[in-house]
Amino acid sequence: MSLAFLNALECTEPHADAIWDIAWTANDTAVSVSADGTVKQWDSTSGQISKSRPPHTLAIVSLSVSPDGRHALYNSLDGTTCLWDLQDDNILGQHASYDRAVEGAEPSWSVSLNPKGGTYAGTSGSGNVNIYSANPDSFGSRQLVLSSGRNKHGMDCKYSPDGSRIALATETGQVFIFELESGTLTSTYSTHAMAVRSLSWSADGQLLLTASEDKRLILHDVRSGPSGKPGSGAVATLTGHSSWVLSTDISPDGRLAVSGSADKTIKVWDLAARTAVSTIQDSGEVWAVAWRPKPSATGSAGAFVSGGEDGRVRWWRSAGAGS
Amino acid sequence: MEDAATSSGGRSIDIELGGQEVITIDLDNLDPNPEDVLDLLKEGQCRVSVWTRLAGEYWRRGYLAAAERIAQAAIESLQANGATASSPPIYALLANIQIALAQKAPKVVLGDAREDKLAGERTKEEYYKEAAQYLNSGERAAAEGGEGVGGTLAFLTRGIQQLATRSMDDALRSFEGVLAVKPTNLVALLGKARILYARRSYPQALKLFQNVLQLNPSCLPDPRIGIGLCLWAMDHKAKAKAAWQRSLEVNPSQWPAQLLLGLESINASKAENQPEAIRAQSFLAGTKFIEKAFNANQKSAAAANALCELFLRKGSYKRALKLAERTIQFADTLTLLTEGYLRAARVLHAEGSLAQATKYYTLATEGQPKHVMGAIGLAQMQMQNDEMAAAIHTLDTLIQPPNPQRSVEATVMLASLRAHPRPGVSSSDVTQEKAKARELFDRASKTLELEDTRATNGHTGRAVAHHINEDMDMHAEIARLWQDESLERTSRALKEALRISEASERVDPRLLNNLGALQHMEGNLEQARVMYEGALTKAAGLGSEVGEGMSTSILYNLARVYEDSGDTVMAKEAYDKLVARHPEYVDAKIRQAQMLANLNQSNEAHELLKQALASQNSNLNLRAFYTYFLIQSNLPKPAKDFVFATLKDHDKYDVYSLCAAGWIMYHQSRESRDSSSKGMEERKRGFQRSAEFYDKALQLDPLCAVAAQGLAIVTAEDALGTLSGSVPPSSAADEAQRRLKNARDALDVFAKIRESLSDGSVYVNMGHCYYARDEFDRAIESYETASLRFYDGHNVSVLLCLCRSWYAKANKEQSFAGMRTSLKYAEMALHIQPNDKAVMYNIAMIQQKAAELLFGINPTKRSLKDLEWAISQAGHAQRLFGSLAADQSPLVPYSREIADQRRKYGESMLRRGDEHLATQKQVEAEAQAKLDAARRKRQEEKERLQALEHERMEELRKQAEKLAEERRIAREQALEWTREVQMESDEERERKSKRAPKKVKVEGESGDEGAEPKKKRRGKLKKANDQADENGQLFSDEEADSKPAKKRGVKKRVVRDDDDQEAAGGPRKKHFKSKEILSDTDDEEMS
Repeated sequence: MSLAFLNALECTEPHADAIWDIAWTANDTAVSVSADGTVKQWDSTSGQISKSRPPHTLAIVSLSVSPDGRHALYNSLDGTTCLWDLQDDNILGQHASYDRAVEGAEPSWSVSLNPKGGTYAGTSGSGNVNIYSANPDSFGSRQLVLSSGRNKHGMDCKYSPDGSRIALATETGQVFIFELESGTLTSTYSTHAMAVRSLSWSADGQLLLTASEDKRLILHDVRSGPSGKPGSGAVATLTGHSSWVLSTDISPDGRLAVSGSADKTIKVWDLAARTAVSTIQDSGEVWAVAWRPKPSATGSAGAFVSGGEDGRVRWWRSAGAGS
Repeated sequence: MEDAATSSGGRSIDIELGGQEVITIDLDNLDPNPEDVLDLLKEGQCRVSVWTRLAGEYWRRGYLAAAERIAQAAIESLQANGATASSPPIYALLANIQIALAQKAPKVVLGDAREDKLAGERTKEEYYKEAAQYLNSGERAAAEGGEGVGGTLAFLTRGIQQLATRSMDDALRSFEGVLAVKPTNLVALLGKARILYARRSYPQALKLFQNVLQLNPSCLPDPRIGIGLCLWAMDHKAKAKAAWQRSLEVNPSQWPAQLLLGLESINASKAENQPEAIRAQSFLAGTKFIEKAFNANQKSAAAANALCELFLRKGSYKRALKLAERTIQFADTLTLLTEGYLRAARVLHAEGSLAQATKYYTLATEGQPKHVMGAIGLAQMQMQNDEMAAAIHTLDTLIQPPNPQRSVEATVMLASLRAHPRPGVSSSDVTQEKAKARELFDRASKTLELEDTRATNGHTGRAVAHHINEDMDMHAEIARLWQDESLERTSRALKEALRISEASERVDPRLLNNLGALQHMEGNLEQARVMYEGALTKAAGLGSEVGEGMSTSILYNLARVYEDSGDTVMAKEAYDKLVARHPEYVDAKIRQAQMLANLNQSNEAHELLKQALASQNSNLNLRAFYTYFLIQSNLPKPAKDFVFATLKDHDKYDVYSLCAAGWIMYHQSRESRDSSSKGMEERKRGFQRSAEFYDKALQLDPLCAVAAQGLAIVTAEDALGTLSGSVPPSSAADEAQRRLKNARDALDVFAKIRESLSDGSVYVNMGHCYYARDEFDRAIESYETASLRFYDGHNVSVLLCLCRSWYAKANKEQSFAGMRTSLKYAEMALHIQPNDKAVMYNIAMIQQKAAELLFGINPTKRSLKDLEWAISQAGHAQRLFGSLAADQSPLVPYSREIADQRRKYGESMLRRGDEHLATQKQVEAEAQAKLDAARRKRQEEKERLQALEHERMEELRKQAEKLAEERRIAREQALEWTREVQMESDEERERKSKRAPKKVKVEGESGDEGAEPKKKRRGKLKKANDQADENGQLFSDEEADSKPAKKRGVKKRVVRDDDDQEAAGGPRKKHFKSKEILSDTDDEEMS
């Protein structure tokens, strides 16, 4: 099987530097964060900027949007975390996680908003996931520390869609899953031996896809058995990229996954068949990919957005599905 | 003969017995037994002429022995009668009989002949000796008889004898002596013609033969044979054939014509441009002719030789050998003898009697060292006996001067022999031999190409050439010879071999495999894969153990290509299969290990390598890979032990291990933090050993780029001097001077290494050297090449080098933009490796430094926007320094104190931030004010000028109006005036007045239209060039062009045109041009 994805749209005013993270919101806007320190929200029909933030002093490395598309959380290279209200265009909270005046503070790298609201998670250089308040009045106050027990840098973290679990990927390739309610580490996967830069949950929370510098993506079954035992772990390896896999996302219907790589391609994978069904050549490293959260029309493979080294946001849609 | 009356009817001879009785002998009916006749003759005491006549008659009938007996009896009889003086003719006859016998006698008698045993036969030599004796006796008799030496008969006989014994000069003299007396003596003429033919004076010989034919059309031996031979030699082959055919018609029983025609037919059968049927027919005809010829004269070496070839081809070796031996024994020319030897050798060769074959080949080549087939045959024998050097010598002698033979076969053979390594030949000689072989193959293929083009041009290409060119093994060998020298040539040869192989529909998988490997090395992975896969299928078709062996290495290659094209799954599958089939296949295991190592699964990789080492501990490739693996896995200590073990126990000349040892020693010393005097000493020693290792590697392989690079690094870092602390720290200036020089020296080396080592490290090292020389632009360029071309921008340390270089460049050039670029690289590095806190420190540092830089430069050279940005950056840096200083981690890659100091420094620096901002605002406001003022001033000036212009235009308009008014009045006045003068109707006048100004207008338009008539004139001029007023027109033409530079040429042109007025016809234009060119050069000097 093979699918074709068309470049449906390209942003009008690209970022001055690489895009390092991207999201497609429930309101059909795209949000991108860039190495130039800016954060921009884009209209997905015109490709024009609808809102943007003045540049931060340093590059923005991580982005997370709320399921309702109202809020965007982003974090800079140094660990300055901001919560941006996309509707009213104001900063609801800002936190300098690197400020060690706070006891035990550690700079965040990757951040993730709790889909249920109220908190966000941030990875640190010491293998912890810190849970901070996302409420504007107490923004950034640390509420919980989840420790993986390994002093490795956290490259990415993501809440499960139901907000009950959180997955952490590290620079040495281990993937950890924490249960939030109990605050415990439930599973560890050592399927990769090189940095995992990105991970993605399936909508039902049963699968976790990891993208690694070992050029592979590995699909993990992360269901907890009735006895509370972790799932069977790695169930599929997706190979085909010829360099680091930098970003990945599972489609809302769970059938497909998209990945962006340092080999300057985007690949779309059929998760059931475990093969690449589409390969798109880009001009530079593809640092970020994200599916459109709205389920696609029947018969369509859906749409996603990508951002990479050239600073341009590109919208892609499956050929055959009417735009 | 006057007594011997010949009856008019039958030919007969009358013998007078005792004066009264006459007995008539019927010459047409001679008794083969001469006894009766002899008695008769003796009794009759006949005269010499009777004896000779009778003997001659017997001879003519073929009763040679009888003739000889008669002649002997004649001599006895004459001696008895005391008439010795008249005996010379008898002696001449006897001599001729001996020569005739000699013709049928063997030249040599082979003692060890296997088939054609002639033991006991007398040789030619003996007969010739007797002939000579008879001649001498004849002369003596003549002298005694007082009749004097000489006479045609004696001369001729002498001449024939000399010709038979190859004393050509003497023979020629004898014949010419005869011809001087009797110019039409046929025997002398024939003899002379033969001598001329032998001397290759074909036209002259031809003339003589033709002369003979005219004098006696039925002469025997038939001069047509000679005519044909001459014509053949003169390349009139058809005429030659006709001559022989005619000869055959006239004398059907004569063998030479048959032999020659047979040879001709067989030659014709080899012509490739003839259809197969015709060729077969010619061959058959030729065979028949030759057989007949041989049957007619079994003692003819030539016929035997030709027939031998036929039997040889048919494979009747026994008969062929007999004929060959006959050829050898009867051959009276060297060529024929050699042929005989060769044929005998070939028969024996084919039979497998190699010793004897060798003997004959040797004899053949001794006789004719430049005989191609002899040399090749001998070489083959020598090869069979494993005497390669001798074979090379044989072939070399053949194709080397003097008189080098152009034989493709021999050349190819020699090349192949030279290409083949022989025991006891030094390696340098082997390379030399290979070079010679390549050269020989080149020469051969050039010849073959030539043949090829000739063949395609309709000439008959030699089947042999084609055959050689279609030799797959030869191309494979050529490919092998080039594989270390030129992959392009290798590839070409292999493709040729593949083409042949494909044509035969049995493609050799090894060829496909090799071609695949070449494509693989060229980086054409897809083509390589296709080739390997094809090879694998073919090899599988072979089935046997050979196929299995082939498919193993082909599968390995295929796996490599899968791996290189990123198809790790297929590659792994293939390696797994290989290892499953051959558990000891270390090459496959190495790749398995490498693939695991690529995934950072070092433990698993290590396990595999240990297994491999257990099975092949002394495999240097494996040991090299293991060394590499240990170094890559950051295990320098085991790597060092391992590499030293390799050098000590396995091969102390292993270049790879030497380089690795050099690297390990250098690394160890460089990273050593031991500052005690013992530690320093050890460090110094380490650097020295490192340099020694590299040096040794370079001695063993002068082209080893890795070792060269290692030494260049030693030089660049002055590892033996400053870095090892062996040179006491001198003054800073000296230090800097030395650093610059070292970097320069090292750069020279790196530049060379770059040519052969396609690796980012070379560019990185060059970047370091440029950086050390403060040439930051070049450093940046080198680092960028390394980063983009080799590391895809993912190599953190190179990114940091770029960051550092931009930082240095920005500081040097006071460039804020440079600082921002530097910051950008730092951010990129941190993004790739977020755990590196040193990069964070650098970011803070750059942020602070950027502000400091802007504070330090003149407000006019900075912008408020930049300044504000820089201050906010520096402010952020404060917080970062604070964070860095407060980091509680046990190990940080920077100094917390310095971070704190930096923060404090920044604090004081930033206190001046507002002041700077204020100054900047003021400066920019002033500048803006100035700018505005200037702009205003410019605007005012512009407006003033516009007003002036407007005024002027108004004035002009007014003047024009005034003028128009005046004209109108004047026209009206004129109208008035005409009206008064002429009494014509108003209408008419109206019309005229309208027409008049129109005409004026047309003429007044001048400009473009005015040029037209001139143009026309020029056109006319071009045609009417012989008009009298040409000069004037030329001038006007020139003036119209108005190019003063040409005027000088014009004058000349006039002069010249007068000169060749007649010649001047159509192409005037051309004429002009050439003259213009001339006028600038030669004409000037001429005039």
